[in-house]
Amino acid sequence: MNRVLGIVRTHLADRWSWIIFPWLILSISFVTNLIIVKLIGDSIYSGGLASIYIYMMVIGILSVAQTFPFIIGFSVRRRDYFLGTTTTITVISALSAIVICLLGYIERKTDYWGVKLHFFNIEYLTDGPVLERLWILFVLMIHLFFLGFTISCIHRRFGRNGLFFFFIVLAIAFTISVYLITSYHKWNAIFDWFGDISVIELSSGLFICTLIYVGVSYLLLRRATV
Amino acid sequence: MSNVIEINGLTKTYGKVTAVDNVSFKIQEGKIYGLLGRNGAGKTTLMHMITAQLFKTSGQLKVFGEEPYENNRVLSQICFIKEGQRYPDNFRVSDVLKVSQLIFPNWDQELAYSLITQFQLPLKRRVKKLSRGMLSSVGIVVGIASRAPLTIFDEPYLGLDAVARSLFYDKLLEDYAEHPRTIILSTHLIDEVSQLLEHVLLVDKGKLILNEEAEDLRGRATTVAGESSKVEGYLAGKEVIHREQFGGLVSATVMGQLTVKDRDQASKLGLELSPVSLQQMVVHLTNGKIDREAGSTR
Repeated sequence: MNRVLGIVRTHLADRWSWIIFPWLILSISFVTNLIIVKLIGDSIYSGGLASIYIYMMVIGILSVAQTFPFIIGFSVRRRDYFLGTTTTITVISALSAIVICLLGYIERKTDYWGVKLHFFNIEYLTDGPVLERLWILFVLMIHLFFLGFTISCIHRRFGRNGLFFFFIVLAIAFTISVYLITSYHKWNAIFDWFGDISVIELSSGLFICTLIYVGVSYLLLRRATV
Repeated sequence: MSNVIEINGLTKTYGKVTAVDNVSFKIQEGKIYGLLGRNGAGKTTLMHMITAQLFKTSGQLKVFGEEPYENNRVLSQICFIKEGQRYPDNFRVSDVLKVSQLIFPNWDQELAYSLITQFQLPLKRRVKKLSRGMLSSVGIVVGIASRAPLTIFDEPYLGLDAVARSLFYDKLLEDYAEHPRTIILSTHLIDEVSQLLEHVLLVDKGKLILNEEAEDLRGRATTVAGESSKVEGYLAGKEVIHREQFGGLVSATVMGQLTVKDRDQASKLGLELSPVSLQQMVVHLTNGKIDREAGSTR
């Protein structure tokens, strides 16, 4: 158990990357939006909240290279590295979701900061009840983190060439799918399907994707050397 | 005494290159071992396999009686300080100590801080910004303060000055005396550590070529010098690991304990006998001219 905590400590020793930068970036995005909304004098539905989420994916990509060789070098099980990392991102995502939810509450109470800036309230995503809102905010973050983490694990396990190969296969699969959808005239059906997804379905679907990434990245790390 | 490590026919290949070739040995509890050999001999690969950071190709590997891979009962008893240990970019020296405290069950924080002071390490500085010598000192502090039952140092003193190196030997011995454990030292500075070592393992080109108690090794090799005709006769039937010719004189190094009879014969022939240091012996054995395997001197 102590060893898992040691890994959490290893991640969080980098306070700048994990705690300060994400909120700094979000604040800059917020202030920029505030200035723009003042200048144009009209209401804005901002997408600035995405910045912290994209940033978490970057952290997912970077953290493997930063911490895995160190931790394995200190003779820790790969499994413990994995548990520690999962614990860290789960706690960070949960706390972030709560803070964003609170900020969303303040935003509504202050009549959107007095200037009609919709920053922490996103249409569709945060329209539901509190628990649903927390769930989607949490899942989005942990999903993006593990997406980045898994990509990085491919690199750790199979090296640069493995990663190239993965993206080439992905690109081919994507191209073929687009071609097939177009030739069978299925685009409308797909857009309709996406349009019908509820927030809870979306978040639970993403959560299942996350579990798949978790499984895949664990299998990749088990055979990774440093 | 029980065995901490048992290795049997261990092999590691990378494509066509065999880094570790059918190596077998045992490491006993509570002793200081020297794992010696040239660069690329396979020492680091061997240590990486013992600590489950690399996967073996074939053979048997037992550490504390079990397979080390993903095994916390084994891994939590090991502290491996390697030359190329990587630290996260933003890690400070103090972060290394705090994380080590959580990772190593026997960690002694007080000892760690006192060693940090003695090695004059800046606690608040980023590990990335340390000089090579300071980086080595961080590893040494972790290795000693971890008090791990199996502590492995791989080239622990790259870039360290003579003062810091002797501080390392002193502190290691001091703590080893109070808290006995198994220590493996892999190094090039053989003369410096030869007094410290209780047992020597010598690896060359992936093979184990020497596996002996350090005590037995002292006096194991002897240099014989004298007129070439007399020396050649004297060498008959002995294992010669090195030979140098100066005009009509020959100086040859032979492996194996000389008997009283051997010594008498040498003095009758007017040959000069002198002991060979561990370092010289290793140089002669690993200069690429000799083919031998461990056990052949027994």
